[in-house]
Amino acid sequence: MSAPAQTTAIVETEHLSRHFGSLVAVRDVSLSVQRGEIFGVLGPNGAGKSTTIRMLCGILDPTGGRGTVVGYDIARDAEKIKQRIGYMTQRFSLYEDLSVIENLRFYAGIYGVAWKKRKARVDAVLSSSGLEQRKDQLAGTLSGGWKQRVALACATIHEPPLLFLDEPTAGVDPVSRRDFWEQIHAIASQGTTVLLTTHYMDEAERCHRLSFIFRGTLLDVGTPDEIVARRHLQVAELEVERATDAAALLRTRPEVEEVAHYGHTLRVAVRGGADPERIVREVLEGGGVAVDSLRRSRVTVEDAFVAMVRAEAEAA
Amino acid sequence: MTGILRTLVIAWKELLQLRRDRLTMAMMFMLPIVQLTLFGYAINTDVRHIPTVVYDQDGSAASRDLAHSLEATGFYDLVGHVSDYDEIQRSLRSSKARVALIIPPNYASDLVRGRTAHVQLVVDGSDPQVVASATNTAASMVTARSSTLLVTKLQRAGAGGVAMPIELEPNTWYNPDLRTAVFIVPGLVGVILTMTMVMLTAMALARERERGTLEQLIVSPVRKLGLVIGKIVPYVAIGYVQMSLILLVGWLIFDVPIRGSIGLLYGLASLFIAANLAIGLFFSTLARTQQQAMQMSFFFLLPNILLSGFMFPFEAMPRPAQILALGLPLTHFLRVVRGIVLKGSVFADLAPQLVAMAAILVALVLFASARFTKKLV
Ligand SMILES: Nc1ncnc2c1ncn2[C@@H]1O[C@H](COP(=O)(O)OP(=O)(O)OP(=O)(O)O)[C@@H](O)[C@H]1O
Ligand SMILES: [Mg+2]
Repeated sequence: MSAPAQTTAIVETEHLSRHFGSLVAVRDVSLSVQRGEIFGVLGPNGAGKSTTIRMLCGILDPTGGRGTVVGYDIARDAEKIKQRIGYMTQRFSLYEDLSVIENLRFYAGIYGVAWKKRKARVDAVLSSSGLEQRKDQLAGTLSGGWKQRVALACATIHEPPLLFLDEPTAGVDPVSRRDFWEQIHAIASQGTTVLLTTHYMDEAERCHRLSFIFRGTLLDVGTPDEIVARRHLQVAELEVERATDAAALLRTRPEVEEVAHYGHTLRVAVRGGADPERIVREVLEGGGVAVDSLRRSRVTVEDAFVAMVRAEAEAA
Repeated sequence: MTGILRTLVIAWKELLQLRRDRLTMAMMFMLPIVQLTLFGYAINTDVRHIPTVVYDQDGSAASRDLAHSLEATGFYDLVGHVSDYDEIQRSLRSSKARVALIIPPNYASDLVRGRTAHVQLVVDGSDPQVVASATNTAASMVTARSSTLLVTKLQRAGAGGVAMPIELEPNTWYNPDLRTAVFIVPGLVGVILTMTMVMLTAMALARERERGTLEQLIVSPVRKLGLVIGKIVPYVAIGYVQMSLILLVGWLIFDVPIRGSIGLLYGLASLFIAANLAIGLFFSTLARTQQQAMQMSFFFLLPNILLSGFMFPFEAMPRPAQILALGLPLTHFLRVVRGIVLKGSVFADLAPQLVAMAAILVALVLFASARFTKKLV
């Protein structure tokens, strides 16, 4: 699944595992992240995404397997790793009783940004995140989108070559998310590697490569296109009068992976390379439901994600 | 070098946060003053002016004289005369009096005839402290009187050169007026430092854990020691301010002098403060929330107040309690602060306390730093 060790890998793990008592939060995860890429980690709640990131950051010891980050072993050289990474925790953990600029200066200080460079760095991140106007506002009084910008600014103040972002866009509005992603791509284009987790499928498609984690196990790694292709799904969209009845009929067919409502539209995914338009016609005409319109649609990462989680849940 | 800078950055951040946390700041400076006033005025273990009734069945000049000399000790206030035992009972039950003096009929004639006069003292035992003071004072007054009577009688009988065989001259040093405040104020320095130092450190780290910022701190390259020192240095300063405040207010209001060297006191206090900070650090590794940290600190305060010698004399405690007390930094610091403030103790007098506090500090620091790691869980 993962490529053999290459010199360009900035994160590499082999059979990385973490138990909490009898609970296995991460099981045998082997993956590698290349320098300069935006690497997305997807998985349902409790899949083990944050646990994996924490092990890679050196703040949680693995109970099995090994890993290297920026060339250092995560168990032995955690403190060396900490110099060279930026980490944004799942909830933007800022000092709410400090102002934006005080937060930035604090993180610049503890990451050892040289005194002479400090002011320039603080000004640079303030301007790249559009925070100049709010630099004296207390962090606790900012709205979600602005907090996220401050958190990202803090995590990048020391220009780390590797950035871990744990659900950086949770609870942030679509416009802010878009701005955020533009910033992530700008950061990556300067050579910084970004590893992030997300629950938003549109964001998953913006990553160079993706991985799927389910109940602690790595299910698949690849570019969004590769991951979608490996599911062998075909998707059609249709408009019908009695959408709920139509959906119930469609679900009786074994090839049908998933039927989902989008307003007046139904989205039907079928497995194994079957022709979705043919199946829809057969089923609905047989059931006496009139089809108003029917067209092929692109298979999304979301379709692939749902299919994978369903298959695993059924197998378990 | 970068290590020291990082420590300073953390200490500076802590100060910025403290400055915005008005409530905590107010608490830290009001607490010593409020406690001092409460303890200084309210806790008064001097037993004086105990309301007393007299049942004088003799009604002679000699019996009236006895009652008056009892009052003259200052311990008893004669609040009335009663005329039977029932009335004594009513007076004690209604707390009108706590002591009753019963002088038998024939008191005066017994004295004259050389027979023992049986004077009775009834004491309300519901407050043991009153019992002890009331009986001791009356007993020594009566003993003194009897001896004088005997000596006079012997001299009159012609025995030359008769004097009191033994006379005890009690001489109380350091606190001759036996004022409670003089004893309490230096002790309060230790108690308040224990309370605030332990609580503030435990809370300061628990707050970071609760708000998720601890994860951001431990993922940074800050060294463990630098992180801990940076977090607690501002509180050391606060500890010294509190200590100065208590001593100053104690001197101004309660007239508590400082007889020894202030420099020595402040120097030895550093060990004590550091030990409490280590305890707070240890609590913070156990507590998930600020509330838990607070509860642990309060829980820790109780044995300190009860066992350290702050309220009850160390010597009077049973052996197991004493052993426990020796493990508390406060027990040793109380001897230091009372020694320096009240008795003018010098360094050599306090060497055992210095050694004990240093040993406790080393043990605590080793223990706390083994528990505190730059890891989650
Ligand atoms: N410190 C801990 N002690 C015990 N169990 C833990 C601990 N941290 C995580 N877990 C458990 O490990 C599992 C994986 O948790 P993790 O936080 O890594 O999931 P996640 O993929 O980040 O989920 P989410 O999308 O909700 O953030 C969960 O079942 C969680 O309850
Ligand atoms: Mg998570």
